[in-house]
Amino acid sequence: MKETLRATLKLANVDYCEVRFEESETLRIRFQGKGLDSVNNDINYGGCVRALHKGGWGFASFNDPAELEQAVQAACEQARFAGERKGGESKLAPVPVVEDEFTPNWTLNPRAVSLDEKLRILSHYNDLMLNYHPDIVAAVIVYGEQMTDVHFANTEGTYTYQQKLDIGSALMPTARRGEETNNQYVGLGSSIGFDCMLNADEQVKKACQIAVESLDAPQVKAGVYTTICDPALTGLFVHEAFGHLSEADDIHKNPDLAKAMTLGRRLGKDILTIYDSGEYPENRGFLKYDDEGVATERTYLIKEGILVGRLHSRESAGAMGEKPTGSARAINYAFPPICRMRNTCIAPGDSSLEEMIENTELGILACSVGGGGETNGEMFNFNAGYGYMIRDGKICELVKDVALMGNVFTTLENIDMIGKDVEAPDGAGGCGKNAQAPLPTGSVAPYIRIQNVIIGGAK
Amino acid sequence: MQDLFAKLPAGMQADVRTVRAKTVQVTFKNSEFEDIQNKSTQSTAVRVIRDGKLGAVSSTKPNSADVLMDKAVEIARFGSPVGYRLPGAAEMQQPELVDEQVLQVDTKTMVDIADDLTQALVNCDSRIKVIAVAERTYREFSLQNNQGFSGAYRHTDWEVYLAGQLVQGDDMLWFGEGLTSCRLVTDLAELKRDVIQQYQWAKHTVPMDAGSYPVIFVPNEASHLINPLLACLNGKAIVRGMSPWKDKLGEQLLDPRVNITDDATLPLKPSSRPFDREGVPAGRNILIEGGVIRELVLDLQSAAELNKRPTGNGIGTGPAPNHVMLTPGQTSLADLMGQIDKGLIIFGSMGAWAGNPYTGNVSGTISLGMKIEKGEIVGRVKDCMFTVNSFRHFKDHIIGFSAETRDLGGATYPYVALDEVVISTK
Repeated sequence: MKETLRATLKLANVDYCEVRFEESETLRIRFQGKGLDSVNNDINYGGCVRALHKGGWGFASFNDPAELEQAVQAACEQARFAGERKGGESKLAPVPVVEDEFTPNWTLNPRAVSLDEKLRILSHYNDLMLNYHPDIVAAVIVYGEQMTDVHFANTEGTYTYQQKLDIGSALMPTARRGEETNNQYVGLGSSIGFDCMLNADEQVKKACQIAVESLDAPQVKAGVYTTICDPALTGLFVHEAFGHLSEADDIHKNPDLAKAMTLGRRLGKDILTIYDSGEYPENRGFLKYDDEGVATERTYLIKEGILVGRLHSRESAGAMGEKPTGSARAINYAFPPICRMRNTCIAPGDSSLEEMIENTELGILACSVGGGGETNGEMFNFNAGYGYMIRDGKICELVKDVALMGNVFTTLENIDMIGKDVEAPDGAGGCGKNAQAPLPTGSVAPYIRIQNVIIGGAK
Repeated sequence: MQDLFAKLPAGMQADVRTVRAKTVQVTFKNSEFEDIQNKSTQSTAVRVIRDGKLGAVSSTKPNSADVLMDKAVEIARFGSPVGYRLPGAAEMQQPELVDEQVLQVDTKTMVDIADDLTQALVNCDSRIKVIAVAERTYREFSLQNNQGFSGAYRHTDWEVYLAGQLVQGDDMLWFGEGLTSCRLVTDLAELKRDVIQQYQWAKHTVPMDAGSYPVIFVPNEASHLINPLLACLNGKAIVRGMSPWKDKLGEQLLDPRVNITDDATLPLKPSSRPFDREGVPAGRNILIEGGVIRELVLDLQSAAELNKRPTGNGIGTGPAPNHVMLTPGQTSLADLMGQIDKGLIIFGSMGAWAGNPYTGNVSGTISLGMKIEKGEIVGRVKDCMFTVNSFRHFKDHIIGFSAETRDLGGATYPYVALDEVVISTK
């Protein structure tokens, strides 16, 4: 494949050209209701060519390898057309030429586990949920396992081959009594092994217990609260509330946005450090090279409250005179790479959960992920699976339908306590941006306390 | 294909679906020409029923049907049990789904269209960073099975999107609209006018107190409120015990003004089709009539389990609506707004799609919402979140549906005005 891609790139008559070719095999298993719902096996096979000329991009994707040369010609032609119309300059930040092949260091290669055994394990969780309590009327299990071989080459001489694994899974009990319904969520995932799917009984039982108890729980009263987020929600918060804003593909073309995100600006208290990283192989955001052939790294975004970095592609780094961070990612060969997160993390602080609760007069302990989040840069929104009211420093009643929103900038400033211990929650689904979803991302995060979070709910 | 079916061991049922698509997309971003993308895709999906169990596989590898058939036979050993037979030949309506003009529009014209949209917003305020997209897609679908069904159809899609972002300090204003059609639409004056109008309204920020208010949801936002109703009508959710509307057929659960129809036969709608993924003719089904639950959204499996007739809504992983319509009201949007002394109109939200649809609860951060005072829009509200319970609000809190509707691609909805919507804010 290496020689084929390199030979084809010689046809490119533009400033820069790259080609990716991928083959991925995805196993999807779904349990829903009382039993097995579906077993699917999908192969996604194809490639793409991206060309840059005078600052204009062309992109062509295809399924048939016989169309590779045609795609190079089409992408180059479009890039020249766009470049002529734009009349700009092709400015990619320089990166080392790499020639490397990478295979993960498996903890348990999922291909070494038979389909029978996977079904047996998932069936066990399904039975565990359905037999937990008479009010658990249904369960949903989503298991996705994607193994991808990706070849990348560019006209600068870089060639990489990577084998990637993405396991994302959700185990969700549904409780119902009369008209009241409640779902809870256990997320599991990994980039290096099927062992992430083992030994989850206690998490599943806890989710079942919360689902049943939530049937009698009141809807949270809408208002503004001091909110403590557990590590799963903190991970979602840092992803939605800050990670997307750090993606530089819009920053470098929008001076007003660049001004709001000026490096050196104070965005939080000294206790706040945020970074994004391709490290942590056990997490879904693990990545050795991005889709521009750039090695990933730990990229500090906020250090001790100060904005210090952002997530770059070669184009955004080149335009801003900064260093590429290995953050250009595409969901598959049918899309060009754009600036994306990998594992977005909050460094641990020095508070315990007990201290956070004791120091909260009226607040909410928001736990577990209750659906995805969303941001428009300035505002963010996400749902907790459940919560507890905190009054006078004590945990009180369980509440449900806890939806959190806030302004990114004021919320970062309002983080006033950060936990000592971090967790790395994972789950099914992934991140969405510019119609590219679900991209595997992850987080490593502690409990955090935030002042003045707007909570939606009952009047 | 018949050769492939002939290789199957006796008693097995199988179908093969192929999709070929070609897409050209032109994007302007940050008010500049961003790129041209040209995508060519083909995929083959095979389903086999072996000893009453289903195996489903797919591939984008060319000429892979025979390999897939073997794989589907193998994976069916582990598959889920099914209680139906694949359908045979049937009479089907063939809605018009192709506009030859979409196939003929060239890349330069698309660049000019996206450029023109961009300039319309830049001319309005040069500080706005514009996203403009023009996209054309041509698709061919075919489905055959070894029970006598054979069908094919073609489809064109034309999508145009115009949005703007204005950053002032830490304030980030987003606004925009799109249109989706099978037909080439080059007169985009209305789209430009609507987007510019959103910007003009949003220029000034006004305070909003927390409380419970009358709120108008534009059609795109109304879809978040209607989705829980559709989720509860989903046959698979009924069978699997997820939906609380099991055994509710014939019951008056909602306001008599709620009439929801699913119609795959409408011409030139992107989600119309002659048959579904399973080869069942797709037709017109009244789901909710006068607030009474009339029909479910069913695929072969859920229909079999409920002992009902499939409704042509199979998508392979379960049933899903084709083109949903909420019957509009008699009142104009202007008159609906005129009835509101103090409230909101919501153009955009975040997170309203998340959460558990079977509870009916929908919460979203208002990303673009305007305050209404004495029937007039007075400015944009910020830092607000809405909470609605679709079951309760479509039963007891409907102010009205507008006479105007908007085509959203997979649905046609009016503006929805509801009372007693909880607004949380600082």
